[in-house]
Amino acid sequence: MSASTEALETLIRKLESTSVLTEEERQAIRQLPAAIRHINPSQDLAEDGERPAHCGLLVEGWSYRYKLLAEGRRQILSFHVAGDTPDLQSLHLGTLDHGVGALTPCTFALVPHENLRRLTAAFPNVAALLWRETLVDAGIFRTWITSMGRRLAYGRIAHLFCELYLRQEAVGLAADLQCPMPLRGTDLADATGLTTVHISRVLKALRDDKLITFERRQLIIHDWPRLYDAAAFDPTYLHLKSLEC
Amino acid sequence: MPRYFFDIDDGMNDMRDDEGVTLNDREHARKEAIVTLAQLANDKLPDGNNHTFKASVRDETGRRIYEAALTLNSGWVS
Repeated sequence: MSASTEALETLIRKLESTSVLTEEERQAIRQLPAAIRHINPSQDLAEDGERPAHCGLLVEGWSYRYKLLAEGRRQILSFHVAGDTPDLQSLHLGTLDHGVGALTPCTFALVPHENLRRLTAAFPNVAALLWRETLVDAGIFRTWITSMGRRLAYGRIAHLFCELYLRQEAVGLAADLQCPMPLRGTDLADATGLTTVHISRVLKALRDDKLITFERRQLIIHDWPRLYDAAAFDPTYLHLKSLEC
Repeated sequence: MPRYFFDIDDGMNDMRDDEGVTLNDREHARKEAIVTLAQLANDKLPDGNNHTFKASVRDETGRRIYEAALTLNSGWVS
């Protein structure tokens, strides 16, 4: 299997994590042209204000969306793992209103907008599933706003860890309450509006309370019910199939 | 980038920082200390009437280079 065919299987798995595709739909996705692009942590897939001609399906690594403010201050808007397409909205909104960067070495499969448009016109169910992706995305933004505006630091970080574990588990990247966690203190700070010093205090408190530990860039959750309680977590906004039945 | 260590006393726990944070310079360390105190205040102040938060910043040599304290004094007046 070529790298681009394999990449498109990532998209199929992602869509099938919430729905069922017909064999015809799967074949149509497999036939999409996809250019493989590797991005280093210091690089961007796309910059704020760019007009991409393709969508970048994340095949491997961690990516994030962000805005830069004066004095180089950065707000991280969302984190993305394999199967996500962080610039999917560029299919219909020509100009990107944020940057898409890499947190770890990333592999993207770039699918031209033109081919995606043809696919969605021919297969309305696939169009609906991609639309659903952007709706879940918006649900995650709503939840981040709620966290940022109203949760205390401890609950805010606990909430983010619950989310990142469940999202990775849903696409087969995590199991048994362990998941990759490449985020550094500054990334967590820029995602939650807290200072890096505050983040390290909260992480220490979460460790002291025996909720989580970190080992070789893995998050290990020791007490899921208490982490869940600390976050006042309600997973509805993730709209995961595994939680709906 | 230099590493700075932030010892923070939130009025309940006096916590020594052994990990530190890398920041551009002293001025960023000063701002980091002040904003952290303000954020701690946001989390913890509503619980009482009087509270002091303190931050002390050390550089890589262990020398103390900056101190800040944030105090709330409040009470019912009628």
